[in-house]
Amino acid sequence: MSENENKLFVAEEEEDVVLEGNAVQEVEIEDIRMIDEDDDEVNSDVCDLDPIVKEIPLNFGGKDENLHIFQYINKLRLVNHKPSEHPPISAARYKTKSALWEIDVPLDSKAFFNEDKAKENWNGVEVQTLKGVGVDNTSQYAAFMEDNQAYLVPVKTTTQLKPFFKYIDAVNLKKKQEESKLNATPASQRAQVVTMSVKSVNDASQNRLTGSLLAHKVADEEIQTDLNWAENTVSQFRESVIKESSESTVKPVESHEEYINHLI
Amino acid sequence: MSSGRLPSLRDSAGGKSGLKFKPKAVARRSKEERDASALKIQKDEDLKSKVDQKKSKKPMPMGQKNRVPRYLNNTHVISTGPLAAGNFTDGGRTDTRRGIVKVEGGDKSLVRKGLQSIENHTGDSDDDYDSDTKEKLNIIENGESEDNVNQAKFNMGREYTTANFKQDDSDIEEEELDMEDDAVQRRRIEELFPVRPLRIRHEDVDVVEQKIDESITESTTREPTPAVGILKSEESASLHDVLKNKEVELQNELENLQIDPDSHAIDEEEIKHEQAMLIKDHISILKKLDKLSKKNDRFLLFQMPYKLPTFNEVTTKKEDADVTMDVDPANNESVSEKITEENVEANKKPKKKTKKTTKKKDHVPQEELTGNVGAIRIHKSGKISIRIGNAIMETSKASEATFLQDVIALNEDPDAPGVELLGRVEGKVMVTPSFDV
Repeated sequence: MSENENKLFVAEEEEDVVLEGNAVQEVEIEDIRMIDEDDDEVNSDVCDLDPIVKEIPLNFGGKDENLHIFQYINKLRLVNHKPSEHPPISAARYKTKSALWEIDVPLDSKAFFNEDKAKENWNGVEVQTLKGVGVDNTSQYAAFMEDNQAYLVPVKTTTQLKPFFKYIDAVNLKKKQEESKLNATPASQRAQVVTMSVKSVNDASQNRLTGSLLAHKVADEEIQTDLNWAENTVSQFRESVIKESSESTVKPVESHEEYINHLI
Repeated sequence: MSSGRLPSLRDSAGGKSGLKFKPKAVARRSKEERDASALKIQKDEDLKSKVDQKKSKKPMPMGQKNRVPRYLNNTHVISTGPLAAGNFTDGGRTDTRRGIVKVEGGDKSLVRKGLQSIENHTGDSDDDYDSDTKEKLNIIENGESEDNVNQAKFNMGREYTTANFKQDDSDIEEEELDMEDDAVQRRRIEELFPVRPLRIRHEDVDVVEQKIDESITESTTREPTPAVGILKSEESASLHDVLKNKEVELQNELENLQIDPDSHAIDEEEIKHEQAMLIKDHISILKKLDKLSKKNDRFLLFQMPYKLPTFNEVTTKKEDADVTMDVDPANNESVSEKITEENVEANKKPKKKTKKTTKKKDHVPQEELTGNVGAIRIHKSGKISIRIGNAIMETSKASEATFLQDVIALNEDPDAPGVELLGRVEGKVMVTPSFDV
């Protein structure tokens, strides 16, 4: 930060100082190699004219954890400026190979829900199924704070969960089948000649399933695992990450310049 | 046959192919009827309230329950489809002034209760609005606000903007779990109607137009239009000199601002704006970090550079021997602080210690990096930077999501597969390597 930029933001600075509250101790230590034993002590840096007033230690951990992000596209984060209620989850299913998630959310039958109609037309649907595919998300970390230290745990995938209207598809299919049985038209009853030919698998010109079709095929053939949905396990998770992190010590190899060069 | 789309359309076409819409011959209405409908526009409210009064005095006999109001005589109320009427009486059972769209299942008691409780609380929920939203709403509500304070109403005209959902909730205290019953219901209904369309009634159109007119018309004056100033002759200075002067001026200004000439910003204003935005980001990040330390089940996402600085693993025991200082091994932070700081020294001195450790173990792969790696640093100016190893990173806030996000842990153990819900995502921070250092 240059001197001028500091000048520009005098007002903001004051505001920040207020925000940081007790953490603010404006100590300037010339020698960066001087280290305080106490973590809470304020460290400073000779970095420009913008001294550091507070440091929050940053730890990595949870390399064995398998974290994922769920994005509930049809659920608001805030309702009327307050965090919305978390949807209840009755079942979760997962296909490992295709990273396909399926989650059942019981429908709220108390408001704007016609139970008779659900029974009559939709095979008594009771849950809304949310479905989504986990997308790899490298170098994304989920952070939590404990004891004024930040802990980062790598996130594997991010999944957008969207409503999937299974029950409509099922009913439609059934209807169609019944229809074709009832209105047997001459065209549908006419015998059809099906010619089959066998082609060599090694034939390069043969059309293979690729891309989306292949993904669908793999997903359809894969057996899904039913998962137990557990809540309130966060404290155990935090403890294990903190413990793991405290047991390991790492030492940086590169300087800032070397790192930048390495990056480029 | 194959598409399976719009089966209802096809069915009806096949089944009732002979049917056509009957042409509607509209009979001329009697004078009374015409008067009644003409009056409706001005005295809509009055009429309705009269109807209400009637109803409340003597309940209608069963047979007349479905009788339509007089002003709806000879009119067809479309109840479904894109042209559906937004508000009409709900089977005569509700208050006629309520603008409920008739919805199947809408007569459930919960809905009714919820609506009532929303309506009774519109006063306090409105407090959340900023002033200009309120002004907008006043245009719509001005006619009704005075006399109907006690009347339960469901304001379909209330407009929500994305800002309502995006707004930072970090400074809002979350309510306790044991909410009151009606509060819970109100919440439910609010979730069902998160966005409501802006509705301007006929009566208000004139008012709005008038306002627009007022704002654009400018009274004419007799003064002549200001002419273009006559250019002073600059014969003495050549074009080249002028350009040179300008260049120098520009350089001076840039120096005053101390702006990097390579900066992509157009002008001073933009730079200021950008800096202000960054500061805002940092304040928000700080708030979120603060919230994280208060709440167990909140997470903040960090998008790190794809490649992090390289680290070597050092076992704690080895470190003790190496550093030769009486450090408590449990006090991990100070140990690693020392290591990083020492490394700065190590750049100058012959790298004895590093060599020792590298012999022991190779670089730690990025995904297995564990332990203290650096710090989030809060500067005096409010800026937040991150130090990872010896590399300095800059932070900024990623765009805010309006939808709910969870962090979950998957356990793929074949014996007891499961998912653990760990908590919610509060926001996202982008971390980029700093090129200024």
